[in-house]
Amino acid sequence: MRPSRLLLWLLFAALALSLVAVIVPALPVDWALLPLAVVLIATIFDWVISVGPRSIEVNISHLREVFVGEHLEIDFKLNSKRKNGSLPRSEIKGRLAHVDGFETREEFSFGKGNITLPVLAKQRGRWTIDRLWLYWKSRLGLIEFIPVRKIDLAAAVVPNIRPITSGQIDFDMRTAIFGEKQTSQRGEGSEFHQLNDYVQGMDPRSIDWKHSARQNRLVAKEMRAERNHQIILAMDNGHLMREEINGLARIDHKINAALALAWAGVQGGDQVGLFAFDARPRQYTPAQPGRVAFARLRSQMAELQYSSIETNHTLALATLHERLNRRSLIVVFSDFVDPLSAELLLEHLAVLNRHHVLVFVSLHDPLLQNLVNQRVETMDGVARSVSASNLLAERRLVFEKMSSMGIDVIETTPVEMTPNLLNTYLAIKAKELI
Amino acid sequence: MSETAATNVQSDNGQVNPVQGLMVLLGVLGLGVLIWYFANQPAALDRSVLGTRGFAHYANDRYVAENPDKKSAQKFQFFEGLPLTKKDEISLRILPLYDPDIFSFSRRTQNAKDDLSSEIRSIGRRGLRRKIQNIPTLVVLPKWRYGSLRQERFHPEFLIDPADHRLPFRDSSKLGAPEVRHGADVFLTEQPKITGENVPPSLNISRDLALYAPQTISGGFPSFDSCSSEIELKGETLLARCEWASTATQFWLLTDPDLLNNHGAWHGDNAAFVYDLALALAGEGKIIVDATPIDIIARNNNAERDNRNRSFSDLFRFFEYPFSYFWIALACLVMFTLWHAQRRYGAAEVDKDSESRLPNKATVIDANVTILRATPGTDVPLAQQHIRQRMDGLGAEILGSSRKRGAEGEAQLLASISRKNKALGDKMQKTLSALDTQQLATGGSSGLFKNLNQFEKLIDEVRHEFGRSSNARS
Repeated sequence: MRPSRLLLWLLFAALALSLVAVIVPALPVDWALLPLAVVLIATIFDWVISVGPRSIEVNISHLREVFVGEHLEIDFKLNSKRKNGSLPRSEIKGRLAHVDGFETREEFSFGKGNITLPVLAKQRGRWTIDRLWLYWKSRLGLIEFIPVRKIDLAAAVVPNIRPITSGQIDFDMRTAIFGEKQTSQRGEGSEFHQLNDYVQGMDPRSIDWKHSARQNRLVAKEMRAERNHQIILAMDNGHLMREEINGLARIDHKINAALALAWAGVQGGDQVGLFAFDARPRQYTPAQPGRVAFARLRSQMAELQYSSIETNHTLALATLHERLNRRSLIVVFSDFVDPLSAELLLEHLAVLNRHHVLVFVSLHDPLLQNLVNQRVETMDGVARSVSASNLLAERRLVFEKMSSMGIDVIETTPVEMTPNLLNTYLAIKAKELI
Repeated sequence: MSETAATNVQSDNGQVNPVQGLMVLLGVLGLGVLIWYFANQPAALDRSVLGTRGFAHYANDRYVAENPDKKSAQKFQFFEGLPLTKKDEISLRILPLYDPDIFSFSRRTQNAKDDLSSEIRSIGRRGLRRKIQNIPTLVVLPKWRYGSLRQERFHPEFLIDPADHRLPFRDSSKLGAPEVRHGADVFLTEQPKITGENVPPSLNISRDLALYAPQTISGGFPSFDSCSSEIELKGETLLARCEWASTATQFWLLTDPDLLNNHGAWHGDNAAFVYDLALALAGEGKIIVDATPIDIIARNNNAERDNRNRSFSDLFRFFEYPFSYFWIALACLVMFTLWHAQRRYGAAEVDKDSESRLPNKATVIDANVTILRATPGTDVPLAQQHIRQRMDGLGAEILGSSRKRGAEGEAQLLASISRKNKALGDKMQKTLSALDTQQLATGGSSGLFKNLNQFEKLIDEVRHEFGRSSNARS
């Protein structure tokens, strides 16, 4: 509870009146405190007739988990503790304690006592909003009630696997790998499936001459798409990944896409592993098959901290190269700013690319694009545009070098990242590059 | 996490940086020292050939020498306004004038040559009246114009024209009124004679006055006028006793300032004559040579000072009845205001700058901009590079990554635009040709941005022509 601004103004007026009464000889000086007394009595009366904080309780319900980038909806309901009691007549407003992981309106109104407040989950982690401030004015508006309620509203913000839970990836993968009928896998790929009688129309190259001679009839080898490949998700978690795009850190966009790819890989029968790094290698999970592996990957990615140190691509990629003993699909989620770090990155990607299939995933930089495309009004603006354009050109040059090395480069927007990545994965599988 | 947020609260709000505070303090002290220094510097006029500072020092030294028993007393004082002097302690004010027309309200002059007098100190009619009213005053008429002050030379050309004099007494404009006159003798050495009755007979006037172009009042005073000639020099008035027209205040009028100014006081017995005259006209109190344009003495003495002993009870009276009512109301207001401020609605604000301190591309770009702009003469090359890059960006949007680069790419883009809309292609070609170095270099910054705006409009037209630009990977 605290005095309202209205009350302060009234007290100021009372002070002015008392000063006038003291100074002007014609006025009765003994009445100088009368305005002050009136204001104080009115304040006490207002306090008595108003609904106080003790007679209001707050009920809260919400989900315990939310995907990063999505909204956590919190239901607030205000009730009167007293029988036949009512809520204050004036508007009740609220404010939540600030937490890094959540973002919401600075102030919200409870209307008739209920509100469903959407809170944007901005960062992964387990966050707790510990306090809620309520605010309403007394009947006469002389007092402001500001009770603080301890709510300890906890929720976990996890990587966004909405495309997985919606079944969209399952459908796409089954369509791409198996077709509408599972038998279509036969006859494609490089893995031996079974022997079958050769019939006219089959590719003569599929005839197994040894078995045909042994069985004295033409027998053909039936192949099927190779599975059980190894996919390594190499996640750069350096300071560049903290930059926000569309309200989320780059790392969160990349984790979402990586998990979608992991799920697709699991569905496609491949093994998926994780390698996270910043200034040095932080986490390595060998490639493993099945949904259990996906669950493990999901929890490990959710635990990746937001780092503020510069990435050491040299150490990270060299370490990864040492640890892999089998040809794998390595998806590098990373970025760079200056040409020097890009050169080092290219050098080590080239080494990895000799033994593995590489995909480099980067996000378009909206800051640079905006600077280049915006209309300039000053010479500083021209210089800024030229500088941004130079950075984009350098970036383009590096990507072209990667492409010339045979690395698949995906530079895209957050929205298109997952589809582009899945398409690239499917294309690599179709070409049997791994 | 709330603890984490709390650690980000800005804790230095409202605190003054001690270094800044010290610098402000030093600045204020320095300003005070400068004001004190310049306030104590003698004005240029007082130190000049027309000033009277020298006479004041001479007179006081002589008085001390003649009266060894009053060694500590300061009989003559050159008064510049500080330190303040009490009215009762002063018995005569010697007031040299520099403005011949004290009746004018503005500093206007009718002759161009009088501009030279515009920088000489003027006290105006009201100031003169106040000074005369408060203390017995010996007014010294002006004689020289600013030219003599500036060139430190004395020549008849630098004399104030007698016609410009307006004497501070009644009916000066009437026919037959006395006139200021410069003597025919260029250099006169003569003894004055007492002709009036108001001069104390004890005054020793057997002094040889040596004056260059002596300035006197000729023609005598008519009987109805308010002045009477008291001392004459070669039959013309050197010292007169006058009465201020509206206030009937008496004052003395000395016609020639060369008797006491830094230039003339040392000729003959000039300084000694004025010294004797001042002592004769003054009483027991101090004699001041007044160099102030305003009458600080009068103001200081108008207010009667209450010299009663002060005590804390005087202060406490402000807290007693009936003032106590006011203080109660004020205390109430302060208490409620602090109460209001003490209760915060909502969480404390977090330091938003912590995120912006992370290294990012914006920092790199800002550094590049600083370097580019620090090099002189880069405006036109920058603008040309900007145009090339905008064309490249447009090519990326329209043709995609398969386009050619550089000049070939530009030609490819122009051909593509022309195929779509020939008029637009021609217009783009024409604009690009026009945006050469020479055109960008002419017209300055405004011309440059006019050309760039025209170019940007054309790019918008091309985009519109090709529909919404695709997200081709460039």
